[in-house]
Formats: sequence, structure tokens, C-alpha cells
Amino acid sequence: MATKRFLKSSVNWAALAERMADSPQKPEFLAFKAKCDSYFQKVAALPDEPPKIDWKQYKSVSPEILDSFQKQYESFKVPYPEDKYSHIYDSAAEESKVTVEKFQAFCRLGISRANEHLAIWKAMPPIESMSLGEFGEWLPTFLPDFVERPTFWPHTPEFQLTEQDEEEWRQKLAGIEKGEH
Amino acid sequence: MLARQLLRAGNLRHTSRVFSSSQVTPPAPSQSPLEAAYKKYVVDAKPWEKPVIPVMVTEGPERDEKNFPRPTIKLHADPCRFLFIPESWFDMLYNKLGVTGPYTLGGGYIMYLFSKEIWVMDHDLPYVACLFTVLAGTYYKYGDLIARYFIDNMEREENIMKNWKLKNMQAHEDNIKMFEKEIWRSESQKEIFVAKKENVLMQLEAEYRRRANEVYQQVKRRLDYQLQIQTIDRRIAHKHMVNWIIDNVKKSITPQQEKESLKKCFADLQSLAAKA
Repeated sequence: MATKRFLKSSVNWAALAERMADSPQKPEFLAFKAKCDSYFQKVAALPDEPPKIDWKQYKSVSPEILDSFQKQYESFKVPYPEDKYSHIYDSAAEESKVTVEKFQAFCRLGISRANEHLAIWKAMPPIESMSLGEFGEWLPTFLPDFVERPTFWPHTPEFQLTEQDEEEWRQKLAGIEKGEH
Repeated sequence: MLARQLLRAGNLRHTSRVFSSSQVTPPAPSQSPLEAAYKKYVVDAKPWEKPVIPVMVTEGPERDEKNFPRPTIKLHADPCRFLFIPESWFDMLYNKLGVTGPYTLGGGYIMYLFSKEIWVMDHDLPYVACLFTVLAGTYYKYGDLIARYFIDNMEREENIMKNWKLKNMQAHEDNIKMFEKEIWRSESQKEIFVAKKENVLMQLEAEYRRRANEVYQQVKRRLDYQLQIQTIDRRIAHKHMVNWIIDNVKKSITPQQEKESLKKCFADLQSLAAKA
């Protein structure tokens, strides 16, 4: 027997389900678990080892035949199927470890960034007592940038050119350049 | 204040749409999934779609916080006497003139105006009294309503700004919680691979069990067959033997013996009848 026999599942499904409880990937997880369960049911449907043959029951059979049967049966070893695929999952697990590390680094970066911003928000004086200049200093997102991104008066989105408008104007200009107007 | 004008009307998106300064965007982290999100939501976003990114503003080292603290906005008026005369004026004159001092000063001042005919008592003077009566009437009738209207507006605007700040802070806290949960969740990835590997092992085990069971079933079937052949053989031999013996016995009986046995039978019957 080259490979170890499967005896008992070492996966803690309860802990996994707890982690996946409100995950967006829950349907995939449930499908995967159903598949695993179906494999386990296939294993559990048959006994661990086949039942022993009661040789005494067959006394009346001629002893030569019985002996040959018994010898052959007991000497025969059922071949265990060769494991060709589990090494794929070993390498895949190694690969996924890198991906998970990357993802966790991304999450930690997000946490550190959020913490930085949160610290700034906490240090900020109350907005209602700010002057316009202070407001622009603390929250420069709202500062007008007339050089890089000029906008039309009164500088609200309803009055700005959309991408569609810009495309139309581009086409019109192209037409004028060709002399089609 | 003017900041309030920016955040007016409860629609903060309007203000966030206005502009943004390109110099304050922090550098994007390279080679990470955050980079794509950063490009999408921060670099390539329309001015009004940009996220609100606060910047820490620190005071200079020469700023004297103790003697010149930050001025706070005064949301309600100082207490007044007679609706419009600040209480602080009475406090100021109390030390010099006593309790009746301000009244004496005010009354004396008006008497002086009348005495020197600076304030001339002409035909229009009763209108002053009428004006004050109408003002007082309006105050007592609608004063609360008018005050409530302005105070409500003021508080609403204040709440809008406070809540906006709280909302932004809450969003960051939610993000932190979400990221921490995702880290915790991603730790279960290795369990999934263990399960996947186990699936292979389980299928191998299922195949092995099927084979072992098949061998057992086949051997048992053949043994049962042998057993049944043995029993049928014996039964046929038994039947054949019985038939053979009966035939031989029948053959050995001669007609003479048959007649004798018949006679014997009749004799037995007669003796039985006589007894009955």
C-alpha cells in the first residue's frame, strides 16, 4: 500500500462554516461542501474491510476445492488505487499561500490607510467652527482646481459636459475641419 | 461660517463634486490589487466622484494655544435684558452706579435729549410708542415661532456637518472591521486545500472498498455455487438409490408370492369380519 488510507476527515467543517457565514462566496462554499459530503457518503456506504468468509459453512464442499479457494482468497491482496492527483493539491496549496499572503498584505495596507485617515478625522476641529480656508486645508478634495480640471459655472455636475457631450463636440469639430458643416 | 455654505442644503455630494487638487493625492502603492482600485476610484475618477481624503494640518511651533485658543463659533446670542440690551452692559455699570445705575443713565440720557430738544417732541412721537407696541405684540405672539425657525435651521446645518464627519469616520471603522474579517476568513484557505486533497483520498478509498467488496462477493458466489452443486448431487444420488431399490424389490416379487399374499389378505379380512 503506497499511499496512506483515508480513515477520518481532518477538516473542521464547523469552523469553516463559521468563517464563511456571511461571505459573498457562501454558495460556492456550500456547493463544495456538498461535493465533499457526496464523496464521504460513497466511502461510508461500504464497510472498511469486507466481511470474513465463514469457511466452516462450506464443509460439504470437497476439501480440495475449498482449500484452493481459501488459499487463493487469503493470499490475494486487493490492489489500492494509485494516488496520482493529491500532489497537485500540495503544489496548489503552496501557490495559494502566496496569493493569500498578497491578499492579506492588501488588507493590512487598507487597514493602515484607514487608520491614518481616521487619525486625521479625529484630529480635525469641528467643521462647523472652521473657516473656509481651514476647510480647504483639512479637506483638499473640495478645493477648486481651476488649472487641472476647469469646470463651468456654477460648478455643479448638472452644468458640466458629460463624456457624451464631449464626444458629440469632438465629432462636430472633426466635421467642421473636413468642411462638412 | 463659510464652510457651512459649502456643506449647505444637506447634499454633500454637491460640494464633493466641485473640484479636487491633484497635489494632495497620496502616491499609489505599486504591484498590489489596491493599485487598480486606487487608479479607478482616485486617479481616474471625476472630480465629484473622488473620495474624501483628509490631510493632517499641524499648527506652527510659534502658535500659542494657551493664550490664544481656537475661536469657537457662537451658536446662541448672549443673554439680554429687555430683549435687546446685553446683560454685560448692566454688569459693567453695576460697580460704578449700582443696581439702578443703568436705568438712571438711560433715563437721564433720554431726559437730556428731550430737555435740550435734540429729540424733538413733534406730532410723530406717538408713532414711536405705537411702533414699540406693535414690536412687543409681534414678539409675544410670534417670537417663539420665528426664533424656532432660525434655531432649527442653524441646528440642522450643524447636524449635517457633524453627521457627515461621523459618517466618514464610521466608514473608515467599517472598512477596518471588514478588512480584519477578510484576513480572518482568508486564513481558512489552507483548510480548503486539505479538504480538496482529502477528496482525492476519499475517492481512492471508495474505489479500494468497492474492489475489496467485489472480490468478496465473487468468491462467495462461487463458493455458494459449489455448495449448491454438492447438495443437488447428493439429492439426485439419494433419489436414484431409492428408485433403484424399489424397482429391484418389485422385480423380485413372483406371481406365486403375489397370490399367496392375496390369499393371506382375504383370510385376515374374514377373521376381522368374524370378530366384528
